[in-house]
Amino acid sequence: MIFNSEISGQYEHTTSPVVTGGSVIALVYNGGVLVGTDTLCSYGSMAAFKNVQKIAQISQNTIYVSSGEFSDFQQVVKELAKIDRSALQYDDGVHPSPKDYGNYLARLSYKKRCKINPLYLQNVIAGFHNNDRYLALVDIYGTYLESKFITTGFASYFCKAIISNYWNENCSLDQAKQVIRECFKVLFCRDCRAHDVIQLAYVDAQGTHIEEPERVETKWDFNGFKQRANEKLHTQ
Amino acid sequence: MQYLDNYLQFKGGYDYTNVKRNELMKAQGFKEMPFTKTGTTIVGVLFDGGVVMAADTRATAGSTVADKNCEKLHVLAPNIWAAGAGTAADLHHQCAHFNAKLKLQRLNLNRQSRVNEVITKLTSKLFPYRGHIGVALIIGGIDSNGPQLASVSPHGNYVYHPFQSMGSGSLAALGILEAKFQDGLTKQQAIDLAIEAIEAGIFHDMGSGSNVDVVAITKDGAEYKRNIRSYNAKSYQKQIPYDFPINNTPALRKYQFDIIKQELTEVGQEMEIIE
Repeated sequence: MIFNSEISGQYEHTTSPVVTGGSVIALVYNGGVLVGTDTLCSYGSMAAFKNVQKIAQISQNTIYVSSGEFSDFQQVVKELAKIDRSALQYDDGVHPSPKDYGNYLARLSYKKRCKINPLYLQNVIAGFHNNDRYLALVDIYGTYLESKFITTGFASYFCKAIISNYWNENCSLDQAKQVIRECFKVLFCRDCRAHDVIQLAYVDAQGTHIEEPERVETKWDFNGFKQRANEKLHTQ
Repeated sequence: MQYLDNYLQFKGGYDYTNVKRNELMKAQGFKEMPFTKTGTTIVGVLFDGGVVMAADTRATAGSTVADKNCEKLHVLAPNIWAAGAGTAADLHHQCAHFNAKLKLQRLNLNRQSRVNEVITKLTSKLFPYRGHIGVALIIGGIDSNGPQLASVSPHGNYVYHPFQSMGSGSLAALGILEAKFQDGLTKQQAIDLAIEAIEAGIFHDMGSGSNVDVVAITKDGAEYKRNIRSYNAKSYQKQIPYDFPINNTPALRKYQFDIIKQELTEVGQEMEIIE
């Protein structure tokens, strides 16, 4: 394959992310959509920025979150907010629905993927429109998947089972929050690039609510970890 | 080739002659045979008074299921069981080998086998092979030092944890274990936790599937429940042998053959057909 950049010799596209955000977990509940992320941006394996808000409100009833290259996230937020602002010019009170943003992002991601210059992101759009909950995943290639629950990154490996067993799409907001907190506890224990301070946000009929960051409690001092059999039984 | 044997004996260290041979074979176009891996979810949970181990039952060769209901929980001693992930052949043979070795030792010494002894023997065997023996085991048992649970990696590393999971479905199972494990579980709680963790692997990992096997090891012995949970049973099972209901087929015509007279007649008709 010969890329345009090789012919022109002028520039090379970034093919690996530099500053990355961690897993995102989004769940639908009775009356809205709940999204959770942690507040860490990693610089490779360094926990560089520990108090980052990675949840963006695009419009009155849409939230956008993503995991992956953080600069791409910031750029996409600008693009989507631009669309929302330009709708004001028509002055008719009509705003793009959450699905419109999801669709736009899917088209944009696919176009960039075809030019081998992707937005290095797993995107999640959450919204509440016409009394209907909306939740979609747009991945790095532009694949668009609407779903009742979405996990990105390591959460896809660790947390799908917890979500299947302890959540259903008609649970209450508190139950959904508990499930997400439990998932982030597990992630903090087992994902090297996770953080224990998380931020939740939800969209419902009243609009978007982004909560203050909170710390999840994790337990590291089980008896079996403190009194390891290794020392007693293998070094005699 | 006596000189070669002498040379290798005095050279010491690890013998890498086969590595060179394998590289040459690959260069000549020899393709490595695909081996049956287990593509597994296995877990172990320590509780007050014993240890519970559980496994799924799917063995994969590439992306096909080679065995829908294989046994991944192996007996090493009456009080020590191993759950195995990795290459099916390696697991079967290593576990059978250590079972025999431990039995011989028990006959010689008249003592119960111990978990730390199994770990030492296993890791001493695996380390020189540098991970080429593809066994990732969870060893659980109860002996004079109490209940113990350890995991052994193919390279020979061992670690003692109160809960373990290994195999391709280990991440899914670990999510459940991290969320729900506590100190001071009862035997039934530990069994339920282990089953839930294996279920997570079965439903969320493509390399794991079919049924759940569980073994609970306490001072009183090991209770092995084969296929304690089954999720993909066939909804319709054909009867074997198939019973044909009598008089189910309507007869349009009936013929009668008289063996002695050698005559074929149609029953209910005057017509005679001679054979």
